[in-house]
Amino acid sequence: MDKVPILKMGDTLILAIQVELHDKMAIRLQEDILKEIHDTGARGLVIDVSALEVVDSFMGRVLSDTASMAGIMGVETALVGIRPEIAITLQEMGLELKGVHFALNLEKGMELLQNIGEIFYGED
Amino acid sequence: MAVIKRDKDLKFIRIEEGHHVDMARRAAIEYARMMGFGEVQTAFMATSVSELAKNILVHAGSGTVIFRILSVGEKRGLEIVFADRGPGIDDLARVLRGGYSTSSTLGIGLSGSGRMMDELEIKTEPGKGTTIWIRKWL
Repeated sequence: MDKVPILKMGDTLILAIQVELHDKMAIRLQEDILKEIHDTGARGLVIDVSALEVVDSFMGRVLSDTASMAGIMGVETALVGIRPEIAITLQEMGLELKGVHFALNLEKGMELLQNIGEIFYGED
Repeated sequence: MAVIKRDKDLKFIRIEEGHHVDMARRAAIEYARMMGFGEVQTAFMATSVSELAKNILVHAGSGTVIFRILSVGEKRGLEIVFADRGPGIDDLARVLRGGYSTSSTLGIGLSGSGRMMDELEIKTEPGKGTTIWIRKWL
């Protein structure tokens, strides 16, 4: 079974979802992320969905739940790489992704979390 | 009245596990691209297939997705049928409004598919199963 690799850059964890997640995979991924946050003391999480063909209501909920859980652990989440047709689909479905910040790509997502971090924690 | 011609070539995908949903979604994307649908309409169809095939898995356990090309005169379209022998949908009107709790994939999946597709028809009988037809015209 595929495992989604979690990378770390500075204070930020990066997760590139490459395949559609099914129930068990999604739950395991959430556990892995929370463990990684705990172990590394990360302050930000970037989830890249640019490789996904669709974001349906299940995937939307997984993303939203993951961001909420990360939020409880003091970590802000940025969702990046949403293609135009997926943005339109999410809007049409009426799918709200709560507790998530959005940015166009990985670079902008990292920048966004950096800025949020400075507001919350002040410059170190 | 226009007569809908249904292509004799059907594609059946049996839905029993998560990866079968992936197969159905891939098939929707392949059909849509082959027929010349644009990116947004293709995403609408792929997402609807994802939602409705997952509904089969979650609510009925197993079922079948059928793809078929339609034509009315020069006009072409794609019809996708989702059939299961699950418990049926109890309060269809409420489900279609999307009024079910957002934690349920049934509500948002069905109502969302209804908005994204050109046509959606449901036949459901408690205890006997559900059949859903969705269509998108070029």
